Amino acid sequence: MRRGAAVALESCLRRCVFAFLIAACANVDVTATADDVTRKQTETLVRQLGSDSFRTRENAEDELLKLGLLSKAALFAGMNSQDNETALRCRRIWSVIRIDAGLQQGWEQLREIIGDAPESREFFDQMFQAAPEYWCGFVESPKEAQTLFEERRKELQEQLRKGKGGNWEAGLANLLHAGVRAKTEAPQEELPRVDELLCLGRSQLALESREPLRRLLKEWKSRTNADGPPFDRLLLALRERQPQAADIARELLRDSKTPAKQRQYALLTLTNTDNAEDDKLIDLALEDSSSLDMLFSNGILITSQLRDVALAVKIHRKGLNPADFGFNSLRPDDLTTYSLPSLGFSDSTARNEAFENWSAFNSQPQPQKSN
Amino acid sequence: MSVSRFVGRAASHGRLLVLLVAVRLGVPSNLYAICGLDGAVQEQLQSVDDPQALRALTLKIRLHGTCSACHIARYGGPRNEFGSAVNTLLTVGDRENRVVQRDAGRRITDLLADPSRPDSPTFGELFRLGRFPANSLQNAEPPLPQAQPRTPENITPEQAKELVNKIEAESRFGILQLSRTEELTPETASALAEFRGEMLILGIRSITPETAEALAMSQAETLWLHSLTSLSPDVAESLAKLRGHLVLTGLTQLDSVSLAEKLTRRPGALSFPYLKSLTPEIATALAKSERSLTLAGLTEITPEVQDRLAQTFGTLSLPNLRSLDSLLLAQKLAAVTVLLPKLEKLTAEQVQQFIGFKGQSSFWGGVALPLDAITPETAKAMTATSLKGISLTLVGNKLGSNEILETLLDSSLKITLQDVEELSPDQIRIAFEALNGTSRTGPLDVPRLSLPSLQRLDSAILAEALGGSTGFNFPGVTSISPEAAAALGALPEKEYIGPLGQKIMGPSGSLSFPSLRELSPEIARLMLRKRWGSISLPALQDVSLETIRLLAKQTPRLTLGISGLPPEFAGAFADAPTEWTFGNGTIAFPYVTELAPEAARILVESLNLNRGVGFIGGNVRVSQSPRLIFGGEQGRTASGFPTLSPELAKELSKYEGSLEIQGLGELPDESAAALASFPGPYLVLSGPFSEKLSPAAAESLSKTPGVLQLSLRRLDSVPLAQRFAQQINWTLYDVETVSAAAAPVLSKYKQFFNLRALTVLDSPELARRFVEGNTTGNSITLPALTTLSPEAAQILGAGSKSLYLGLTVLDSPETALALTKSRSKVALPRLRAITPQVNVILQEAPSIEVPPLESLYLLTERRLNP
Repeated sequence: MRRGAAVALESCLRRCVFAFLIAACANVDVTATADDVTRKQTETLVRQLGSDSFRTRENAEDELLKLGLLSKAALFAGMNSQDNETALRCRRIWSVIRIDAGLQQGWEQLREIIGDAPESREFFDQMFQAAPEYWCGFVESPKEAQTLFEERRKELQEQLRKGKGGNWEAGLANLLHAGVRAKTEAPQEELPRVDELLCLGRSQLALESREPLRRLLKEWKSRTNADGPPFDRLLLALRERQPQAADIARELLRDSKTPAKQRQYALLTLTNTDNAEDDKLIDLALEDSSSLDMLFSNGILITSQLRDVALAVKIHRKGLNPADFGFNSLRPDDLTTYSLPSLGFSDSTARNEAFENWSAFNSQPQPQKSN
Repeated sequence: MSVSRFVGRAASHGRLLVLLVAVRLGVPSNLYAICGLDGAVQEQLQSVDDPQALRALTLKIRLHGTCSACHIARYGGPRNEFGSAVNTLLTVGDRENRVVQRDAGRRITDLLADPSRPDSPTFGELFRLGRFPANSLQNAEPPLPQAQPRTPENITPEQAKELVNKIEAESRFGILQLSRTEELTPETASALAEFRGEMLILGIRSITPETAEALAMSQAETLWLHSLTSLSPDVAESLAKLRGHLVLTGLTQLDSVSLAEKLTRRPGALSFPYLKSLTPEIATALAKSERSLTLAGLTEITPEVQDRLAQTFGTLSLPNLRSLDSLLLAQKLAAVTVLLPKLEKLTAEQVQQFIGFKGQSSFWGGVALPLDAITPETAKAMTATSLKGISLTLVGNKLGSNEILETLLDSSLKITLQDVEELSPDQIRIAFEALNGTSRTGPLDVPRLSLPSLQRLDSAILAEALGGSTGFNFPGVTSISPEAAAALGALPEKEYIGPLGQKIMGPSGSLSFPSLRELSPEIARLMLRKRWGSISLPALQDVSLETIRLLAKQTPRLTLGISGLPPEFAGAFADAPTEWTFGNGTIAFPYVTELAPEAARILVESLNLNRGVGFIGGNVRVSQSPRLIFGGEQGRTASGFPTLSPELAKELSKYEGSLEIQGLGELPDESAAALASFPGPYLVLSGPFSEKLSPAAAESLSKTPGVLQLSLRRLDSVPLAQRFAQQINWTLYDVETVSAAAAPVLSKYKQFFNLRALTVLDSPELARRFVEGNTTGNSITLPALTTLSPEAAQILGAGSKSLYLGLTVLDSPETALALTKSRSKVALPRLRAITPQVNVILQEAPSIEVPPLESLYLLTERRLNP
């Protein structure tokens, strides 16, 4: 972005958030301290804000602005002054300082993640404009990042529910940023998932068109990939065709407490892996007759058990078609290779026949792989 | 029929309000024709025996509405081949006369779908194959199949005379139809010409001058030769001399000016679906038609013919025209509905004319143009209109450039891309940005963008954009990607105010996939992460138990198209929501035609769980269990249980919610006896069973404690009449006759009394009930009435209410005299025949509104009783 445009945008940002911040300033906790010299200097300057001389007042204001965050304590004290002029000027000065500081500190943080290309800076400005209180909060009364993350999440959900305007992509980016901060502060703390917000059409559109948002998402994912129950992570990984799906599937299959209905997903995740260890995990399921689901298809009822799924996976891993072994209701599926309830049989005879076909096949030496 | 005329008349009789209220209440209005003339189509559906064909037809009706069986565009306007045939037999005056409509439906069965083809199937054969009889913009059928050779039914002069005598003896306004007779000798034609009824319908495919001479002497009011495609000059001259009206809907060629003039003189819409060419002279003759003129067979016409047609007196439609050069014709075609989907080129000037016509922004208006012919310039011209909310249908599947889409979506037009099956990623983005934040407010709100032919919902962006715009109705979608399903499932729920005034989150949106046959558990899981206000999957054939469980749990109103309900699946609905805050629940199985008693038992027990029947005000039954619906699309079609076995009835009779069994074939006495103990708030039964309900079954049904609704045409059971007298009268909506024994009992009914389908009023008690009790407004409206006894007339005439009676024949001076006594208005708008004595009475009674007396047919004299 050209310098002129950046200045104009910054000026615009200041105007947009000014009113909000003036009001917010009145009730802010003061926690920061300055050294004594600075404290005395800033207190003097604040007193000068109530001077009878206009020039003195103006000069004091300029000085306080230059001192920036160092003036914070004095300004907050001045906000409670009996002199209206002093209180008003303190609020105004602090609002400018916090915007400057918020923008500066925020950008310093964010550029580490999204880079400092002009497009990234422009995107940050949008993020700031969408939630100035979030960014300014860092310089004023920092809350726990996890709390900020929750606030951002609720705000975005509210925006969605009420269909109210707002910059969705900037709001989403702020949420992800808050999440990244929360994980930085407490990596061991699990965060609620935001998949439902990410899979919306508007989010997908934003991700398609905004490189900085994609980078934020990548960062978010790298920090939260172990959050949540493994089954939820597996479903997400399957939907997003992530390679780590196989690892999660193995984790699920190794855990003896994993329910059969979750195991079936894990088994199908291993349909195309090339890992001898996986065969052992699948073989274990070949003995498991836990009921899974029933498919009603054109008047015929198909029941599926975990061993049926395991058998279909075994057959597929050999490069063969399960339908050739007796899976007569087989349906393809985008996510799981085969539609889960279609991996079943109309009766036990049909099931036994399929298993016998598999045994017969295995008893043959070196079967030819087919496409 | 002119739409505005229909609206006006319908509004004056309160019918329109009912239709609009029905739409608002969520009754799928597209199942019924708005004009009220879909009885002919319903009759055809009743004749389809093959369940698969019937299912295909009812799904088409659900997708496109019954309107598209007859009309080229959805809500009315020009008709297709089938609609033209229907319209030859029916007029707008028949919209409340189901008897006439059913008769028309039966007569059309044997008409050839394309008389120009020697191997053409009939309309009836097409219905039986599960397809619509003709195309519309919404529904394009494959080319006509080859019909099995059929043996023509030729008749002798003697047989013809016998037939004439027989039909004349049955009715003064009879119809003699010989649609399967392909040839006539002059002698037979002479015998048939003696017929003096309403219409002589002949299916002859060729005609000699001698036969034409003979037929030209026809005494029938109208002669309809539906399968003649061309006539020699001699034949044309002879037929032009016919005394009555002449209809030749099958013509592919028309060269005789005198014949053309003859054809235009028949009142009613003029339509030539197969006519391929037109000379300037014929165009001039046809342009004299005072009503609408539709020339659907014309594709290319000369500029001179175009100018001549531009002079057409009534509405003109040329739905298959490929080139339009005449500015005059373009001006003429700019009407409430512009239907020019085949034009190869369009100019910005033409477009501005079409879009700028002021009636087009009404509910009935709209413009249909070819998508291929839209350029960036014409697109800009379209958006220049100051009129808001015009429906623009673009036909074809080639979306020229993204700029066109962008321009169109930037306007206030309501765009339907009729045949577009997919959008590119860029186009999806354009659509999203244009539609972002828009949401359809209800069924009457035309979406800003519709893609009825979209087959794959494979993008999250598209799902969200299109879902909001169309109210989550995806008519053509047959597959859903995980990304799209996840996007739909991530949309927010709606805020409700709970029973204690607290805010609670609940279902939102009506999800509808009328073409989806399979729904995998994975897609269901993603899509159903939120609760939906309703979910409709009427085409669903393949579904798993887990998916059904999830569907039932995530919506209070579920429609499933599965063909059966195995016992293993019957318990899957136990978690159906029951919160009244979200409205009454419904579970509908429109295509379940077989149900094992065991499955019924499990279903009923699971839905009865922890609920029970309550009472409001002491005797009004209420239940939190969902309304359970089996069979027939809202009772209008034949699909449903062929019979209700006593075992099944016994299980269903234990259900505590409302129960609807639609399209029921038979109801044995023992089954009716079982239903007598049904405790739910409503028991609704419809279908052919009602035509053969035994007295014992009727008596049993009358004992059900809740509200009983039956689609009865004939009410001859005293216990039933007694029962109906004590409850709401929606039950009486279809009643055409009430027996002498039942009438006095029914007359005890206290609330608004509305028997609009009544054809015979010969009961003094019933007449007195109309006069003395509550009716709709301060009037008695019986539009289907064909018989009114003098005694009943006397009671009606002595009352203070205005009368609107559908009588076509008034041959009783006593009845006429009684009506003249009325102090309020008496309207007999459909009167067609009177006796000379009645004529005298009516001449002296100007308060009775009748058609001009000189236009009525004078019947043989009857003596006035002393």
